[in-house]
Formats: sequence, structure tokens, C-alpha cells
Amino acid sequence: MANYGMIIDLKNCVGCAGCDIACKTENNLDHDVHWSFHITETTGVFPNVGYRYIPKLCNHCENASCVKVCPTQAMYKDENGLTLHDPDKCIGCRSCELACPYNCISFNEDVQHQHQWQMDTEPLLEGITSSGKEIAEKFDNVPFPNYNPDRAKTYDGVRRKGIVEKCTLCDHRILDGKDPWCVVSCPADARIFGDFDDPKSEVSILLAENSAFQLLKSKGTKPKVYYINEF
Amino acid sequence: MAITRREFIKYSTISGIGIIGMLNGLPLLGALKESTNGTSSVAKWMTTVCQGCTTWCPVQVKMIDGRAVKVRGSEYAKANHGKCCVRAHMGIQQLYDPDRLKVPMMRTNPKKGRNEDPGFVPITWEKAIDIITDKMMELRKNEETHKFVLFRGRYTYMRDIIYEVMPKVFGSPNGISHSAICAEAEKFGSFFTEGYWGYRDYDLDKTRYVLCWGADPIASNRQVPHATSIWGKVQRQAKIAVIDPRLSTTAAKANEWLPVIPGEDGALAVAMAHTILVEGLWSKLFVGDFKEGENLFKKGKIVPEESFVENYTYGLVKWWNLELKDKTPEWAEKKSGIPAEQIRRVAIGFADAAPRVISWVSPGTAMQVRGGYSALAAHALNGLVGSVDNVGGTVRGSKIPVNKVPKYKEYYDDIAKAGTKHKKMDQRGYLKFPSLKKGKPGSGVVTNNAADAILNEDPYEIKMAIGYWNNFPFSCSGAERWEKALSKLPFFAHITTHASEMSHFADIVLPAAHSMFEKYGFIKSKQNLIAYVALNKRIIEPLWDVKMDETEIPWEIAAKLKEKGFPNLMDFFQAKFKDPETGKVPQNGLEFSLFALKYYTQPIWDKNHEKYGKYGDAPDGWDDFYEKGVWNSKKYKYRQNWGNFGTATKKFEFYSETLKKSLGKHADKHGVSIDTVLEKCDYVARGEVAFVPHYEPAFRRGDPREYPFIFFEHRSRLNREGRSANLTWYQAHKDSDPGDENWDDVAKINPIDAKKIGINNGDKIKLISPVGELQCNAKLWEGVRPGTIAKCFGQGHWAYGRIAAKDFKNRVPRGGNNNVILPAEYDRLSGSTARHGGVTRVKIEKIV
Amino acid sequence: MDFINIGAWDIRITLDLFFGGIGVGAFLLSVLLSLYNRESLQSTIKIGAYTAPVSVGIGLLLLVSKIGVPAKFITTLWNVNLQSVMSIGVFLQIGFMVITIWYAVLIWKEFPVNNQFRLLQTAGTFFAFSTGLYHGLFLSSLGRVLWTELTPGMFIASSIAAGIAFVLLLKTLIDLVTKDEVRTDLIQSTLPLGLHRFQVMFFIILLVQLVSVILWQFYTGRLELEQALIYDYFMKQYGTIWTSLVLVGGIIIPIIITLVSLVKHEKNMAPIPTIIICVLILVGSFVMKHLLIIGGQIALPVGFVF
Repeated sequence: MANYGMIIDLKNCVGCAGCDIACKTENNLDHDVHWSFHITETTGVFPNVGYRYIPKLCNHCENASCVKVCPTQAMYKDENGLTLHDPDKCIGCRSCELACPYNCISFNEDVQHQHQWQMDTEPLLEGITSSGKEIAEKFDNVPFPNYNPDRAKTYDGVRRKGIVEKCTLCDHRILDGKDPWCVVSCPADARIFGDFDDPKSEVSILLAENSAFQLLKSKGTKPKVYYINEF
Repeated sequence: MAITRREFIKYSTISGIGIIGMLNGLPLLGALKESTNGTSSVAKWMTTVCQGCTTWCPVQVKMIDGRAVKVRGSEYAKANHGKCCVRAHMGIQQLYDPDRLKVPMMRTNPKKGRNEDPGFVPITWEKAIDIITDKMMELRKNEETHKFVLFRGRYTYMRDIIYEVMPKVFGSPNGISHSAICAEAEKFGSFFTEGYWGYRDYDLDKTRYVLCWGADPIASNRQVPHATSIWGKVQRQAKIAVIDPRLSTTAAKANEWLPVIPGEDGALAVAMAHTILVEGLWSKLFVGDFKEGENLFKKGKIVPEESFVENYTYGLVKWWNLELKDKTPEWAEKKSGIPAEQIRRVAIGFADAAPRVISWVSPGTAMQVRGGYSALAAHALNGLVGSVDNVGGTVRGSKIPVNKVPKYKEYYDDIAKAGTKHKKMDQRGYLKFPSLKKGKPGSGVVTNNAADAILNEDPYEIKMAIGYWNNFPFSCSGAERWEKALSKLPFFAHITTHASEMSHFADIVLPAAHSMFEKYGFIKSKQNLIAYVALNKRIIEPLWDVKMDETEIPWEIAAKLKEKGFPNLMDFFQAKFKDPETGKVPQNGLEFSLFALKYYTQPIWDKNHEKYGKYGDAPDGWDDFYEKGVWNSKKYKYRQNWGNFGTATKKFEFYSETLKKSLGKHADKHGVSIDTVLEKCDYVARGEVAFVPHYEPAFRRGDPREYPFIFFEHRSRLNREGRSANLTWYQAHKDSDPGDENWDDVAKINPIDAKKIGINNGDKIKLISPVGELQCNAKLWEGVRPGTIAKCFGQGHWAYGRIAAKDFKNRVPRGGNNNVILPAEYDRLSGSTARHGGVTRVKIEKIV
Repeated sequence: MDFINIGAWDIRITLDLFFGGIGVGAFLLSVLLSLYNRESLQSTIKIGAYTAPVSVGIGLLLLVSKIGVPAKFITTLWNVNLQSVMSIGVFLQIGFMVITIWYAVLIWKEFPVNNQFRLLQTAGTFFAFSTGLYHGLFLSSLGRVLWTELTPGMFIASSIAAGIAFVLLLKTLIDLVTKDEVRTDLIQSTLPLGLHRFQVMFFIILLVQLVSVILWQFYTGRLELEQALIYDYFMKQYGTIWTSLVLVGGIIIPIIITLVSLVKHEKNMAPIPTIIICVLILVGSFVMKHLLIIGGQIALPVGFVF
């Protein structure tokens, strides 16, 4: 029993999108599906211009609106405070997508990676270059070459057609006592993962010591991704 | 039993030669296939090197059943300490890009040109090498081997084999590198002050002020992972000021942004030096002081040279009298567009925090026409405040013990002897190209000028070229010249992972092994005060019939040349690259690659070598070194060069006797005065001022009345050099470059300018310069100065795959390549291509 | 600023709510009229009774077709989430569907007058109102800025009006075709307020709709920054259609026509104004629902508002 969440130190963050792409490798995301993404913002007028980059991921809200609106309990809170999604229960009504104020849930019109790896059969240069399908067929039992089988421990390895999907905070890694892959991959150590119920955890200490903000706090979702410091 | 690839390699390397058969043959692939059936997948982190930028980080790739799945920084590397930047992850997409070449291909349409379909057809390696060596033998027959050129691109230090030995033993002087389109002008700055022709390392951990000259260390060039990981600390302990016409991420996170008018960086540098002197903030320890103690550096006042006693520096008063005395911040404000008050504040802040400060010179400031002097002035600040080679300042790299290329001259035959006597083909050393690499006139490459040399047959006609991991018609400014030059070239063979713009003009294209996953090699680099050697490895069984550019392909060529009656190259390879452990003579390209790798790195892993363990890690033999994949030097020792800088005076030169000597030699060679050299090379300085860091006005092409905007470009944090535009991850995250848009290539325009010319956000526009035009979309953005247009380099490929090109078949680019509108201009003293500094003006046309 | 449209739902959701709404209105009309004079209004009562299950059924089918895994729709019956309006709504819709079918069958077979029939009508009325309310509550429960607390009111009023309009339109057209006397009203006012008269029905229900739409417009544009921005953007995109087809065409003109008719103490409305009024109400209802479905998915770039 824990209450997992994350703190993102915006001062450490350099806005590199490394988390976004690392997430794609860990979770077998198609290029246009973003469990981890970012918001960028330029403010002011030359030469007094500000720019900031705010990493964004599922907030694993305590009061998760996606969980509330889901008609089939496919979106649920687990015993460790994660907001998770059960693809077997999901009917693809997409209510959660609309209810999430953070735009952190995406829907699969098709099986992920289909277009890039299975439906692409045309090489640019016949006999000289390849196609997605040709490459995919070189590997047995995996839908695409860099498929990470670890993902399939707790979720569809590649999400099926017609349902939504979202960040699980790498619950499959947490099970093994490891940090989420975005946390490990962040070259700036801007992401800190931990248990907010444990007062001795780094996240609890950081939260106590810093003035933190959450995204769209006014929505009442009680997000568990906190941001500290300025970009 | 499932046997892992890793175990295979280890087993094989121990047994000596087993690896070759395993890697070459299908049995391995079969074994891997078996192990992927069922649940028993085999996972292992394997070390290699990411060469996505010039940092060259040791990384680890998670291999599962022979597939590359994900990437992290190497746990064994002290320099990047387990970190890698976003580029390393993208390597995976590059590896599995369906647009990679599977097999060699041959041109069937003899006509060359952008609008000619080359009519490529697949051929075997055997046939490809046969055709290439036929051409080479023809040159030998006609005793015109010097008309052969080897164009080098992204390399490892195995480069000597293909780039130095192969052309020379064959009989050509022409190993032409890409270096001058990279950052040579940066080295000019440190060489003619402190005698160091190389990239500096930066003591970020202890610094108190970072002054970035166009540098964007948390996004690009160089040591990105280390800088990224420590930048939070740097922000907390130090002040950061960024001089960059664009609001880069580093600028956004800095205390001070100085959006200089492109090309006017030098004005800021000399004004800062002026301020530091007038305020009496120079380092008394490093530089020295006035005899009488009173600061005589007063605005506009000449200072008697004898009044000042210098310690580790030379020529401070000369510098003041020749250049600095009038270069006030108020003067610089008019040139640079930066308020005098800000210049003064930054200069004083920088000097106050000294010596734990860094004046960080990057290509943005250096790779400009006349940019060598800007680099000189900006780097001189490190001397002025005593941060050079010092705690928290700029330092050099620690010693790296690796072997040099074995002596090969004894393998020259008469043709080779005669051929190698010719001058190199790029016109280095011509009056207009002093190219003073390490102070030696005519010794630095002038990469971009090779196109003109081919077109003008000056110094001589070029009949054949081989290029590897380069793409000059895309990456060189004045790109169109390269299209013409390569069209004129009678025979060109290109070694590349993708059919690219350069391949489009090739007769033979050879599929290259990927440097991060499929190739043996080693690199030398430095970050975090640690110099290191890291191994590029073949960690996967390549999907396609690719070969290692720097070793396997020369091997194949040498073997074929031997068959055709010229055995010297093969003889050299077999004689000099025996397995250092067993003495075995290499029998094929892969063995050769591995033995050469072991040879070069022998001082690192061979316990019997005199240098073993002396300069850093002491791995437990080859297998241990191979497994870890990285060797770390000892931490850099501060001040080791104080009193013994590599300059003519052994001092840190503010008045560069070293430069004076070099320029003198070049002038003498041509029988002209130094002033004539300067004039021919587009510099404005005449007389003594040419030997001190000084202000040179920005050089621009284009009449401001016709071309109202100054154009400048910048780098993307997602660029794996120019090669990542074909990756969906690149396109889908392009907005991580401030101001840029996903799946788009935008010209960033200040809203004031856009309003004036009636351009809206997202409008399709043409950027037109005096040398070319490109199409892209408009982005109204406050992060650029009014009057300037900024655009990221990397998009605009018309032949680099299905995503990079909007329409590959019809050669329609996605976005526009900056190098089409950038003219081929140079910082001639360093031979560098001047892509920065607003070298051209442009006009904007809306496409309706 | 680049607004995002999440684009999760398309016209099939609109059609579900539109047809579902017609079903609600048609059923309620049928029940209401049956309270008055089942003999003389039999054909209208029947049209209403038959329209309801067909219309609700079509709506439900469209909804099922829109979800990602239609085959799994049935699982909503046991994977219940009491917090989810949609989860409850599934039961309401199915319950309503069952009752309307039962009701239609009874009317078709014998049109009984007994307690069981009355009970069915009562239960059906409950389910009809619940379903009608559910449509709007379902949206407002998702917390999107244009789907406010006023949405249920707008939706149920629009649904009832559309249901009545649909039945009346059908009845008028059938009468015209069969050359029967077109009757849209009855002589005596025996229900309170003359509620059995279409003019009165329309007048009241459209007034409710008008008030809820105006309140919605008034408040949505004046709340927090995020709502104001999205509302402005919505109106910039769709304002003209909204005002002309929803507000003026779908509500105000029909109110005026009914008002004129009432003032003139007309007992019957002539076929042409009846058809016009019905078509306008149906178009208005559809457009309102569609624009709200599409426009409600407009979002600011996430993080713009902190």
C-alpha cells in the first residue's frame, strides 16, 4: 500500500523531450501517442521574453475524473494510488478522454504500430530499401523490432484497437521495485518518483520543503504530479 | 538451450576468431530466432557509443533476443555518468528505419543532376567493390591517383584506415574531412591565445558564472548529457548569461539573455574586455598588474607598455592600445543591439565571479565570416580573468593513451610516392585560404571549398571520390554547388546508411553499418573533466547486408585491389593489424575490424603495455575493457598549462605572436604582405590589430534594400547531426526546440516584422537569399530580434527517406534546407564554413 | 493560441442524443394525450408510442456503433460504476427502451385501460424524464467547460420539443397524404393550462429551452478565463449557425408562431405553420446538440490555465 506520485523539478528540467521519447521505448508507444509529453509557452515581448517547458504526464489524480466517468470500471485506482486502465473492461466510449482535464488519455483507432510496421509494405527503392512490414517480419513474436516485452507484464504490450490508453507510471517497473523509465531516463534528474504516504520518502520531503504547484488544481482532481521551482 | 548473443561474443573473443563466423553467418540469427520463441527472452544491457552529436557518449542498449529496445547512459562512464540525452534514444529509430539501404546499389542513368532519376538498382558487394576498384586501377594505370578523393564525414578513430592510409597507399593526398563545416573556428580562438587546437572542457561543477557565446549546452554542442545533468546545480550556484540571437533553452533558463545582432558577437567580447580592464577586474594573479598599482586603463587612453608587468599572459597593454581602449559598452551597444548597461553588468558579473567562470565559445560565435576573431576575443576573456585551465573555468582534456596508426609509408610504390606529393585538392593554403590549423598555414581542411575545386578543376581535375557518413549537398552551405560538383564528378561512391542527397549523385552506393549498433570503432572525447575512450560495437546482428565504413569496406577494396595486381594496401592491413593477443593475421573484414580496434586501444587494456593504467582506468584485459566499453582518464589537473601554454611565447597571448608568425608564413609563401592576406580573406583589420582579438563587423551577403532580413540558423536538440528528420520521434517532438512546431519546419519571425509584411502564423512562405530559396512555414515568435529570421537546421531533405522528404520519388523536401539559402562563405583563417553570424540577408514571400 | 479539439466524439453521439431525445418527447406526448382523449387522439398517441422505441433504438445503436468495441457494450450491464453517469444512463436507456417497446406493443394490440397500463405509463414517464435529463447530465458530468450545469435543462427541453415536433410533423404529413382532416388540437380545454394543445406545449417547453440557452450563453462566457476563452472561440467558430438555427430558428420563431396562434385563440394550427414550426424545432434541436457535442470538445492547449 502506497500513494505513488511524482515531483518534477522545473529548474532541473532542460525541456529536452528525453522523457517523452524514452517513454515511447519503454511502453511501446506509437510516435503520436504521448503518455509523457510537454507544454511549452513563450511569454513577453522581445527582448523581455520568457520560455518555459512543463513536462506533462498522467497526474494519477486522487480524485481522478477519468475513473469517475468510466462506465465500466476500466479506469480504476489501484491500491498504490495509481490510476490504471484495464483494457479488458474498456469499451472505448472515450468519456475518460473528455473528462481528463490534462489531455493525457489517448484512443487507438487501430492497433498501435499497425501503420508503421504492418501496413507499410512499399519500399522507397525496390529491392534496395525496406518497408515496415519487411522489418517487422524479421522478428518472431514481436510486432515491431524495438518492442519491449516488459510492458506486457501488467498491460497490453501493444494496446489493442478501439480502446484508450494512458501512462501507468510504469507500474510494471514499480512491481520490480524500479523507478518509472521517464524518471530513470531524465538526464537532468528532474523527475522524482515516490510514495507520498511515506513521510520519509524523497517526494514527501521535497513537497514539504518546497512550494509546489499542480496542473489545473482548480479542477479538484487532486493531481499527484507536483512541480517545484521555476523552469 | 538459449545462448545469448553477449555470451557468443564473449566466448568468441576469448577464443580469438570465433566471433567472425558467428557474426557473419546465419547460424547466429537462427539461434536468436529460437530464443524468441516462448517466454524465455534474454535481456542484456550492452555498451556502445552514441554518435548523434559531437559529444560521443558511452551508452548502453538494452538488447532483448538480439533486438535493441531501449537506451541509457553508460554506468561505466565517469564523463556522462549514466546519462544520455534525447538523441541516444532516437538512435533506435534510426537503426530500424525502413528507409535504410539493405544492399549496395548502382546507378543506371549516366546523367547526373538533381532532376535526373539515378535509376538505382541493387547489386552485390562483390560487384560494387569490383566497379570501385576498376576505377581505382584505371587511375593507377594512368598515374593520376591523386585525382582520387576520400571525403570523410562522421567518424570514429578507426578513420585513419579509410581516410589516411587507403588514399595515401593508393597514391592520393586527398583525405578530405568534414571538420571545417563543424567547428574549426572555435579551435582558432583557443589556439591563438593559449596554443590549444581543440575543444575545451568546462568545469561546470565548480563554476560561478557561465557566459555562453551562442552555446546551448543543454541542447547541443557539446557534452550535452553532463551539462544537462548539472545545469540545475549550475543555475543554483552560478549566474548564466547567454549571447544568442535566438532564445535558446539555455537562454530561457539564463539570468541574462543578450540577443545579439547576428555576427556582432565580437563587439560584445571586446566591450566586455574593455569593461573588465577599466573596472580593474582582471586577474592580478594570472595576468599581472601595473607596477605602480594604479589602474591606467582609462577609456580612450593609451597605456605605456612598460607600466604593466604580466605573469602568465602576453601583450595585454598592446591589446588595450590597439583595440580595447575605445571599445566601450556604449560603442558596442550600437554594433550589437545589446544595451550598454547589460554588457557592463554581464562583464562585471563575470569578472567578479572569476576565476571560477567560463567564457564558452561555440560555433554560433565562431563559425562566422571573420568569426575566428570573435572566438579569439571571447576566449581571451578566460585569460583576462584567469579562468583558463583553472578551477571552475575552461580546461583541456586529459591524456588518452591509444596507439597511432602504424607506419605505412613503406607501402608506397612509385605511383603512390608521386601521387601523394600533390597538394590536397581543397585549395587549402591558397592565398584566400590560409587555413591555419594549429598555426600551420594550409594545413586545415576547407571542406566546403572542395565543391569549387572540383568545379574549377583547380588545383587539378578530380576523377573519383568515395564519401562516407557525409551528405555535403545537404550539410554544406551553398548546397547547390555541391550538386553541380558531384554531377561533374565522373565517379562517386557513397557509403551511407540511407539513400541521401549525396547518394543521389553517386554511381555506387554502399550500405553502411550504423555507428551505434553495428560497427566496431572507438572514440575519444571529454566531459566533466574526464577524457575517455569508448567502444562502438556491433551489438546486433544487422538486418541488412551492411559493412563497417572505416574498416570492412577498405578491407574489401584492398582485397580486390590485390586481386587486380595492387597488393600494397592489403599487405599493410595484414602486416600491421594482427590480433595483438594472438598474433593472428586478419583473414576477413570483420577480423580486421576487431584486430584494428584491439591494436589501437592496446595501451588501455594490455597489462604489459608501458602506458597501461598510467592515465586512468586499468581494465582487466581486453575482455573486461570490451565488456565495459569505456576507459576513463584521471580527473583533469588544473593549471597544468600555466606558464607553458603552447604559444610562441608560452604565455596566454592577448597579442598573438603565434598568429603573427602564422600569418607571416602564409604571406611569405605567397610573397604578399599580411595586410594583403587579410584583405583577400575578407577581414577588415590591417596592421598590428590583426594580431589581437578585435572587433570585425559582421559580413553579410545581400543588399538590405532587396533583402530586408538577416537570416540565421541554429541547431536542434533532436538532430542526430543532419540525419534524424526521417524519424517520427523527431517530427513528433520538434517543439522541444523553443519556437518550433511538431511535424513542421518553421522560420521564426518576430511578430513586428510579420505584421509589417503581412505574414500570419502558419503561412506558407519562401525565404529568398542571393544564392537560393527555400519553402517553409512562418512562425511568429518573440524569441527572435525584429529584423532577423531564425530557422533550425535539419529539415528540408529531398532524398533522405519517406518522412524527411515530403515526396521522396519526386524529390520534394519537407520544409527547407537552410544550406540552400546560405552562401558558401568562410572564416578563411581557420578554413571554416561560415554558416552563422547572419551571413546572408533574405526576403520573405508569401506563397498563396 | 492554438485550440485543440479532442475529437473523441463525432456525429454519431449527436444522433444518439437527438434520436434518444425524440424518443423521450414522443413517449411523453403519447402518455399526455392518452390522459385526455384517447379515442379522438388515438392516431397521435399511437404515432408517439411507436416513434419512441424506434427512435431510442436507433440512437442506442448509433451510440454502440461509436464506441471502440461495440461488442463489449453489453458489459456495461455488469461492470457498473455508480459514480459514472454513463454507467447509470445505460440502465436508464435500456429500461426506457424496454418500457417503450412494451408500451408500444400494448397499444398496438389492445390499448388497455387498466392499472398495469397506468403503471407502465407512470414508470415510462419516470424513465423518459430520467433519460432526457441523463443526456445533459452525462455531458456535464465530464466537466468540460461548455457542458455546464445548464446543459441538462437545455437538452431535456430540446428533446421534449423535438419529440413532440417529430410526432406532430408525422401526424400532419400522414393526414395530408391520407387527405384526412388535419387536426392538431381539440376543442375543449380539459387538461390544466390547456396542456394537451400543441401551441401550449411548444410555448411552455420552448420557453424553458430559451431560458436555459440564454442562461447558458450568459454564464458560460462570463466565468473563468478558460471557459471564457473557449466560449469565445466556440462562438467565433459556430456563433452564426448557433444564433440563426438554434436560437432564432429553433426557439424564437417557433415561440412567436405559437404565441400568435395562442393570441388568436386558434384551436387548430394550419398545416403549413405546423410543418414549419416542427421542422424548425427539429433542426434547432439537432444543431444545438451537434454544436455542443463538437464544440464541447474544444480545449485550450493543456497547461495554458494553471
